Amino acid sequence: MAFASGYFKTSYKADLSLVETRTRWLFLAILIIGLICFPFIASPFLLDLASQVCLSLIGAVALMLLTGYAGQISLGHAGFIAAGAYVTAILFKEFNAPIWVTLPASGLVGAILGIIFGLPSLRLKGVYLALSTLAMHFIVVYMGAEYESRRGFATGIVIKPPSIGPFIIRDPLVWYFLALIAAVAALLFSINLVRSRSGRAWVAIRDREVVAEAIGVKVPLYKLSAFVTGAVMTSISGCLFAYYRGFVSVEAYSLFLTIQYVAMIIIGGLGTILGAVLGTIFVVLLPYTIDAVGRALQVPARLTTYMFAIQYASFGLIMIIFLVVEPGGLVAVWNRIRNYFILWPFKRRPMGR
Amino acid sequence: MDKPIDLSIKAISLAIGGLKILSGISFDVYKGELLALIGPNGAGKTSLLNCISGIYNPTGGEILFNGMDLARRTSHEVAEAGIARTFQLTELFKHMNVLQNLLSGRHLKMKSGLLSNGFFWGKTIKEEVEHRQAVEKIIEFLELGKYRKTESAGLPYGTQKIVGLGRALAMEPQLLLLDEPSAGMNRQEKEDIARFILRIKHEMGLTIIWVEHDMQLVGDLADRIVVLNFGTKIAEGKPDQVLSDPTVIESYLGTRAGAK
Repeated sequence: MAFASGYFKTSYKADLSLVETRTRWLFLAILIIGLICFPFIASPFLLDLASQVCLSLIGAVALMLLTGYAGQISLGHAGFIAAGAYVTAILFKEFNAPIWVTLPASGLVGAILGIIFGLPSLRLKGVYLALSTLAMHFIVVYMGAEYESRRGFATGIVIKPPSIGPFIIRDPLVWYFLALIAAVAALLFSINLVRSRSGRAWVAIRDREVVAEAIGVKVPLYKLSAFVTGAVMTSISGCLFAYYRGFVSVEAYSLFLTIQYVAMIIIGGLGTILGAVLGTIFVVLLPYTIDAVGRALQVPARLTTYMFAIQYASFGLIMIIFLVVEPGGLVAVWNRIRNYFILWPFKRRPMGR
Repeated sequence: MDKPIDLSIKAISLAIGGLKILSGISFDVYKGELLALIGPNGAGKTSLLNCISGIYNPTGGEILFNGMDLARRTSHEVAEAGIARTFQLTELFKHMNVLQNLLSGRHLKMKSGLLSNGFFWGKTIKEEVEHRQAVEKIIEFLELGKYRKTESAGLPYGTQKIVGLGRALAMEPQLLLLDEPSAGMNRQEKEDIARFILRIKHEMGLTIIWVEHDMQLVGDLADRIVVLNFGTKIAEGKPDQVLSDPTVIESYLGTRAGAK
């Protein structure tokens, strides 16, 4: 990372710290205070958006580990989310299971799915692998739909708000903090992974598989571990989403959901954790922004029926624009802006990272 | 020779499809020696290195190392056995900086698992610091200090090759395979790499198999030379004796017009 001059480290341990200077501690503190104060100022609508961003972030950072770091392309992400949601719904409906059962159960089912559908990655690459993960998505959604229709929940499954002891989690404010904590935990876990042994092995596999093996990385094991890590985190986010919405239905887990997650990591910037964060914020807010713009422009009522189509199309368009104009994603834009201010009023790009 | 044998190649053959690439190559590599493997383009030098390092599995023959036959092993098993290699085209991990590339070479020496990494527990921190120290020694040895945090893809080609050498050294191997370390380098860089190779041999005591095209470097540095041509061994011995061998000269330079 670029630094203003005059900052020196004196130990290798200091080089491992995530927050490196006093200025950064200050910015972090401001950010934390901002995140804590946010729900008390924001409207219920904005609070809902923030919770959605936090919950989506878990899935996005999981996909970033799998695709952005380990280089395994997956189009089955909505399948993992659906798996978590359906495990939660089924356990709740059949056994009235509480959240401390459904949450680990979702993770476990995610892990099993991750192993099974990670296995093709040992043989397949690129588009072929993407196709086999897509098959997983359809299998999971089919099984979910089958459960719904057999048990007579044709319109979807309603889930009661989760409770821990006597305390029922229903208040949007409590949900916001819960989602925030989960997102921060997922982020920290991922950051730690990518800066240590496992993350380096993943990047080695993405960059050059033959060489990764020649330096002693057990390539099949690490490919599977990437799938399992991604699947567990995503299924857990699926479980939380199911409780947050209070409703599970097949329509919510279409292929479009996968595309949204892929869009998050591409628009954010592949191979960076910050990219997952920026991309998630961007993609979650985009439909609402388009809505708001439409309202501001006072689109005639007969055109509002096309809003959904416009949202679909704008995703594709924005992804293409990013791939062509800024393949580094929002992270590259962010770094440029930051470097500009670090060096202001000078113009030279900083050396190194 | 009375020195102990480190690696013994016995009648190695390799065919890919119908193409015979290596046929019946045998030679021994002694402990602590710098053995140069030379031959014209397409002679099978890199293929032989690939056979040793497990990237190819030879169709016949044995490669004995510490009582283990490497001929049927995968490349990570070969790495575990204590053999590291560099690549002709550097093959660095391009999304990592120099430090991360070298640390990735420590993969086998590190033991921490996924959960420990994810929570960054004491074990992982301790390991990261310890192996950073080991890697820093290599950075100092190879004079890479100023590139420590530079993305490897942006480095000059010659420096990338040195980083590739560093990644192999980070594995602390017993046997080092170098695939044309000086190719594409200028005189200055070649002298640097020659110095590094000699220091690796004398100070670290590694056995080195060295594929090289620069005959001057080979003649100056190598302890022994093995010459390949069209997948067979045509000569083996001390540099002065091999480089003046008429068959070797013929395979490299051809015969004088009208000499026959």
